[in-house]
Amino acid sequence: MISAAMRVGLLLGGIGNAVYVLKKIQKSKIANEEAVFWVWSSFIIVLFAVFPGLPIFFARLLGIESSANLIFLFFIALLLVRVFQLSLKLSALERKIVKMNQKTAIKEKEKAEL
Amino acid sequence: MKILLVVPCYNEKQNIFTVINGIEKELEKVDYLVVDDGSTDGTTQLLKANKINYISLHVNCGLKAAFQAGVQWAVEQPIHYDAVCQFDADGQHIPRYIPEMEDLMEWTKADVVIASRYKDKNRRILQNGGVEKWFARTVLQGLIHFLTGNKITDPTSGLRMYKDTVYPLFVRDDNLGPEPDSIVYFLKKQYRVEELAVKMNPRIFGESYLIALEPLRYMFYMISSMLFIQWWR
Repeated sequence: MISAAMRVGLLLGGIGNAVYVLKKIQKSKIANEEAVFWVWSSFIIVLFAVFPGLPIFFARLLGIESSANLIFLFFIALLLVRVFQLSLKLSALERKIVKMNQKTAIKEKEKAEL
Repeated sequence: MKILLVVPCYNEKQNIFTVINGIEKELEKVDYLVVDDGSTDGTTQLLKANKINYISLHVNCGLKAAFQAGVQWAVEQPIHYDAVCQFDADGQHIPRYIPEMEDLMEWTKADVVIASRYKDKNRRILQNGGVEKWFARTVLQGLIHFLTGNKITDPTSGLRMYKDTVYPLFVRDDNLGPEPDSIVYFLKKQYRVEELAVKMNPRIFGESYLIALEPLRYMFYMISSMLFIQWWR
């Protein structure tokens, strides 16, 4: 069972999250590729609140006693994947900055020697 | 052999001039390139005013990126460099060992020559190492031996010469730096690594790159990289 308080919490959290993310999208503060993740995650939070049967079903399926634990597990797993993706992205960004920096340094030397 | 010394430097205003003077005096046939790693203490202006051969990164990117930039420059030059050598800007390294390293590289057909402070007891390091340095060295030595079966007496030496068989790898592979973990990579890929017994000076002024990196964090990173990254690549 999921308590009424938890459902309300999830619902408010999900809607609040969605509103906040959508506002940022409107103002172009976040890249579309990044925003997709946040829109979907807000949607899933709301989904769990509106249809409590979903987490209960999956909790039973996996042998987890409390469906609240399933919700935690689900989001922890989701966030882990997300953080790793960010690590990948950060590595790529760092690489690009360093490469650009190195290229400019060499180009500047060539220019100075002309 | 045509050799390029890559001298990465970060805020070495007090040392760099003496170091470059030493190189120019002792090594007439050797080229050098100072890579200024976004210094903020006026090193850049000093390099420019004294017509020293240098490139300058706009922001501080770390030793690895600085050395890679030097290798990138070497690769783009019209003349071919037979070897690239990393050389510290703090006055620790003695230029007259460069020809000896070159000879050793030719004689043994080595791909990497490391200048070792611990290979020969008669050429002991002048600076007293201390317990934590002994510990760091022993751990890294043991790990390299365990992973590759090779004995490297001075894995943290910052004076290493790379032949043209290996130095282009530093620009092709972003994860390869002038650090001890790369030795594991080279040995694993069947490159030949030799060591030459040398002496080194204590640095002239200030703190080194390694101390700036915090020894514990540095060791943690090196051990993890040797065990889980360089070994599997």
